[in-house]
Amino acid sequence: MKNQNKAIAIVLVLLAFAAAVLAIVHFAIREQVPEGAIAIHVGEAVKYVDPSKLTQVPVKGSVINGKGQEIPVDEQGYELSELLKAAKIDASSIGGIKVTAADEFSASLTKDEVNESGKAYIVSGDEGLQLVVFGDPNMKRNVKKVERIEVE
Amino acid sequence: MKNQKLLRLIFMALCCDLGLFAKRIIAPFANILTDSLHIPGGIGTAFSLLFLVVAAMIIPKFGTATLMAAVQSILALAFGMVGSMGALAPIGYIVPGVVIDTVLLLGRRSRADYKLSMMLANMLGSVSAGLAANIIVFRLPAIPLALYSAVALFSGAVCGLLAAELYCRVAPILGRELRKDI
Repeated sequence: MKNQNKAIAIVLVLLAFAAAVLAIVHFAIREQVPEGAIAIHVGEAVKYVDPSKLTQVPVKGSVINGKGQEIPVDEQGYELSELLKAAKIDASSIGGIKVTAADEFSASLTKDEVNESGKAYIVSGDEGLQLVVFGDPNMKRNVKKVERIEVE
Repeated sequence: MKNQKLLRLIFMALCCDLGLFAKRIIAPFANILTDSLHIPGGIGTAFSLLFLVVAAMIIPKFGTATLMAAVQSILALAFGMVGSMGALAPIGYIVPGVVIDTVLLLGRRSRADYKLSMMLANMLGSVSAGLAANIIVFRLPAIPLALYSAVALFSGAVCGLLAAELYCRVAPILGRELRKDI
């Protein structure tokens, strides 16, 4: 019984150690994005865009939550194509984009979705910058705490 | 229906609900930890699986955890508690259920200590849920995925030990009645 408890304690310590080492590595290699900014990656190049310096537009519509209920959206935000424009990227010449949150959760949008007026926005909410995609069957792509946009 | 079978089903239903709503209760605390680590989860699931492990240990029949996980997935769909997995959420519930059943079966066959079996069942159930979510939704890069898995394994181990503690207290009271005719 004593050996059993010892083995369990060793497993716990090893797992905690592995998690700590991985957390250090993760923090060391993850990109540090300035507060309130979005890092826009095109291949190897990175540009930081501060959305608060762009002109806000009204973001109105509704999205569907996990229960199938319509949630009204009435915010101020930025069109994705405008964000790309601020990084001197022509949204009409891209293949698509991947929007990634601080916790690495991500959502992809096609070139057409980025360029469609009234389709996808970045809004500034309580939980930081958030992607809002209208017309989806659920809010799966509404990434919170947006930090990166990778242009494909 | 025999009384024992009805009692088992009631106990399983209770553990199902406890597991499902425990995740909701622990979510704010778990989110603080996972947000600070910049990973999309891994702690809440381990805590919710604790109740499945306890029930599957008290009712030593292969399929107990899987059945409970299937019921949980139906309840989650009905209540809209599907998170980012959407309609594929049942996979995220059922996979750990199967893993828990398998680990506990192997533990019974090899006559392993109950504490070790429960810890391993919770650990592997938790990491399997995380990996299923990663395949379906997150698609994390290697390092965040490794950290996510390590956190799921560690929290799974801690919650597995909690499950063993709970089992120790519940089994002497309900165990004999629930195990009749198995």
